[in-house]
Amino acid sequence: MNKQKTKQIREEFKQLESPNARLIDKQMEISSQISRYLRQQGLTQKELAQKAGIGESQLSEIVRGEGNPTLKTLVKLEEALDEDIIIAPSFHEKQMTRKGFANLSVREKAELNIGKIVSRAEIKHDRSWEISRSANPAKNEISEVEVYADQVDQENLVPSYS
Amino acid sequence: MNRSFELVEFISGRKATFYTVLFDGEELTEGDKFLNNEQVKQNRAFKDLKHYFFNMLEKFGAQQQFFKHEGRQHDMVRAYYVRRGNLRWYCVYWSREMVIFGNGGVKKVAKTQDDEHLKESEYAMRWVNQCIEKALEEGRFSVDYDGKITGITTFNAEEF
Repeated sequence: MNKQKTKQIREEFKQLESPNARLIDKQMEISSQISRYLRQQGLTQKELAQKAGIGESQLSEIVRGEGNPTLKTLVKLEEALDEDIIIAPSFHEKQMTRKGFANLSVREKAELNIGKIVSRAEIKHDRSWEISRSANPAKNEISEVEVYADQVDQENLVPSYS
Repeated sequence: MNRSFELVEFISGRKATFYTVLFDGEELTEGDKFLNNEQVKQNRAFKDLKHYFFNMLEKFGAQQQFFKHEGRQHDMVRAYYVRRGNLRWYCVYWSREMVIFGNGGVKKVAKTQDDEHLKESEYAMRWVNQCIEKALEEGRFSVDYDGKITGITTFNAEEF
């Protein structure tokens, strides 16, 4: 194997930046959630499409992570699944306040070694955590928390607070 | 396409490890050939594909719905694809933690069989799949919970 050439090819690939990055993130999040609900409820895509009154191919595209559904379509899916697909940040804030995390600083969170109980999703939705991560002296500790949280919550990217 | 090959780590992330295939006598792995294919590089969806790819590695894992079944009914051959650009990247799908990527390209024909390069890429992955299944049956191949291969990584064509 030509290791130098291989390295060069992969580096070039890694450096590509998609102009649709944010859109793709959302598409994949929506896809992940719908797929999880389908599994949990034992529904097929066809059944969900029928229940929601949308086209099967449209649902298939959304589930593949390539769809661009309207808000109306997402609401139809939420109603059919009886679950939230779009979750506003304020929702997470309420949940985190309830769990006593919201008022802690990033440093305090790390110092409390909350890695054993915090979920990956809670880290993901805590903006202040993300923003201050690069400048925070407790970076290593945070990484440990994230790694642990990943192990705990490999299956569910988006939290279920029921 | 019944050639000896080695499975080598391609790119890994927090959520998954992706492997690729190095066939005997080749300078580049199949995955690197795909990334180095000019048609693929010039494709309008290539940058999007990269973003999907790294999102799987770091955030979502290789969830099944992102892959299209392309092989025979009960095998693990899939195509990772971005429909917008008709990109097809053939692979052996093991789990959301581990996928083995092969070669692929831009699909411009209705049937994969009508494109020699795509057909060859798909058949190569069928061969890889066949070898892995046999090694699996014989207890020589396994993958641990975080997607790392723990069994053999070298497959001699004569044995399979």
